[in-house]
Amino acid sequence: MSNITGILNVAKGALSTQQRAIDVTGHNIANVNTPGYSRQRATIVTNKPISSSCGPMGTGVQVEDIKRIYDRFLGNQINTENSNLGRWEAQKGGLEKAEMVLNESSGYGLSQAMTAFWNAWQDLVNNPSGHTERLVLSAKGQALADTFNRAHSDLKSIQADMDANIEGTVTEINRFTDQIADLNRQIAGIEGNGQNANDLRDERDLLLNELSYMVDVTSSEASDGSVTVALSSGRTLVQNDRSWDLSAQNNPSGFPSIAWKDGSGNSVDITHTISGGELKGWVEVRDILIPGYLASLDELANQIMEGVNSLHVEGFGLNGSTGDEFFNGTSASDMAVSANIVANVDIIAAAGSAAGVPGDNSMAIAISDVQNELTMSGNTTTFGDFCHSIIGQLGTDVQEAMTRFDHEAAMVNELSSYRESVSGVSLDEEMLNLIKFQHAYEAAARLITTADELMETVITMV
Amino acid sequence: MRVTNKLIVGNIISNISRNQERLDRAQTTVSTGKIVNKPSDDPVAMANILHYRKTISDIDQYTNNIAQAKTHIQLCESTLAAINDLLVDARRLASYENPGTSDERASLAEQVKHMYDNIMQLANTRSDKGYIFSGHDTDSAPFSRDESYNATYHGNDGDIRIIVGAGVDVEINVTGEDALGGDVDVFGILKDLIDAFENPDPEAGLSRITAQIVPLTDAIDQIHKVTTTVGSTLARLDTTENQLAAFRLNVENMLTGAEDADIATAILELQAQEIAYETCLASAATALQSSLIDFLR
Repeated sequence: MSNITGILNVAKGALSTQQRAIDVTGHNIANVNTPGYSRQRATIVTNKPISSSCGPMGTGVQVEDIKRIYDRFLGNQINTENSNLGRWEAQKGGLEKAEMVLNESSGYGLSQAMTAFWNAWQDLVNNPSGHTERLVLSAKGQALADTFNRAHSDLKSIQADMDANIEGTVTEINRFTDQIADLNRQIAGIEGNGQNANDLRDERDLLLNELSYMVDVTSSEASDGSVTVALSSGRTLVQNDRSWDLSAQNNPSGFPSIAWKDGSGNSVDITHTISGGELKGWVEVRDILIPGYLASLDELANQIMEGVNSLHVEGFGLNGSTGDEFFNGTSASDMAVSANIVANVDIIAAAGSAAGVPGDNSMAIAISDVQNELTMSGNTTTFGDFCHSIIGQLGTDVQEAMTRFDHEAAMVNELSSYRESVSGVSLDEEMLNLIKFQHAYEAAARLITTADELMETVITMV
Repeated sequence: MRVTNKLIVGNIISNISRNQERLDRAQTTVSTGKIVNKPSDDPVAMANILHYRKTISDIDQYTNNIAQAKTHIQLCESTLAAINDLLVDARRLASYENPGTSDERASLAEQVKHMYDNIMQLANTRSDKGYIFSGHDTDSAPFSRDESYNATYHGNDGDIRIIVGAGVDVEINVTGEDALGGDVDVFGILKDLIDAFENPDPEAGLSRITAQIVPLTDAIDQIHKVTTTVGSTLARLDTTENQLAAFRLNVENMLTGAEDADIATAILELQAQEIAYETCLASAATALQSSLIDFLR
């Protein structure tokens, strides 16, 4: 059907196709900085040819659909690494706080307080009847106890921080899964009509990406375009347009545990099946690492108190008193110098025998020597070395978290770069496309003018 | 690889932040002068640093202990030297061939009484930490006498020790018993001498007087012996003090090696990082400015 109307039809199709393509280009340019946006392309196809006397004849062009350009396997890979990134970033953050608590480099740490305490005992050795030496010793003992108390409560407050983070993130996760379920519904609706829900998919991918940073999830796409999201442990979070909530519930140990609610509202504790994401990092810091440091501090405080007290009760104070303990308490949290000693430093037992008072310093020597005994870790280390090993352990833990974080950050960065390379908008490219489509549009417009002139020629012929 | 604007910006941001991080680290090293600023910088080095710091602190405490002990011992030494001088004087009095008139003897008896009281006063010397010859009984004077010059020792034989190293302690005191009592009863000998001078019978008195020469010599020997013991403790403390000072220097060197940054290297590093950072910024500025739009009319 090679006639002038045919030319007009071709021109009309070309105009609307180029215009649509410019539209898509504009959408790309507008979203150049939108997080999660994948560039789109109008799929331009030639119309079905019609048969004519001289063979099949082209009938112009149309936009078949608008596709987004992305690598469908990249998403899952990024999400997996993102879970690891979230985990190590959270762990690193928590541990760095713990490191500040036990940082000795400024010179006001536990190690310092312990040394000062033992040195105060030696000062008492030098002058067993000295009132000043006794007051100083009592004060240094209290300073040591305070340092233990403070380290303990600071570590506890980091655990509380982790709790707050966990609770906040659980709420966030629920919000995200709700949104994903909602997007599932919209996408299934649109794609059921045979169209591409490009922007909604971008939005959903972005949500999945952010969700994977918070907790380790796996996702798989169903044939209707909806995704099923599940925790790595298998609990479903989103299926079709339904979502299952997580909750943070207090457990007997006082820390909220993370629970998954099944369809009938029953809660299942999943705290320790979480294996990635920020939740994992925080749970690890709160339930494994900090309790470890706390246990070491408690052990150290307990052994120091026991070592000093067991000798001190045998000794004799300036006023002949005996049987008094120097420290009260059993752990880092409740360690304190005995109230009796604070009230009357004369009962500090420097003497080894009642007859030796006041010049005998043998008990003070014995107590000073406790610091050199291998009392810790199954009688293999001294108090000082044990204290240094706690700090060394913490340093190693922080260092590991940092290394892992750096590694994961590099991985995610690399993968994101790759994703960006595939799906990102290049302004130069869009500019070229714009010019390309603009020229095509101008030419199509010219085609109409030409057809119009042809038509006019025909009319004037009549 | 397809490069997009966001990719370029993203890379520039991550490069800038990496450079900033390095610059910050170099800056911290220069400003603190330390390479290990927190445990995670180098956990092993941190544990060593803490160990060295504790060792230095321990050494300082031992040195302080020794300094106080030396003061105590020097006080003992000078007191013993003064007692020794007085005993030598007493022996000289006892060696007089001719005891002279009863008046002269009475005045000699007075002199010995003075010496007796002088020695007792010296034996009752006290420092800021109490009486030095009382053993453990530091708050009571070790010796007293009655009107007829019978001396009583109130102290005990308790030893006072100080800590000079991990698990090492040294006895630093001399008891009145060691110096003036025990085998040779110094005050008893002096009392005998007084009694001898005051003896109304000159002949019997003279033989009593000369009889005290040997015991007085024994007393002087005993003081010498005690002084030597004290002196050797002092020498031992001096040696320990010197050893500790040398050891402290070594540990300080190790601490410096583990903890302190080489300042020249650190400054060079800082300058290198500054240059890297500025170069990164400059290249970012060029990379971000160019766009196809600039070339389209």
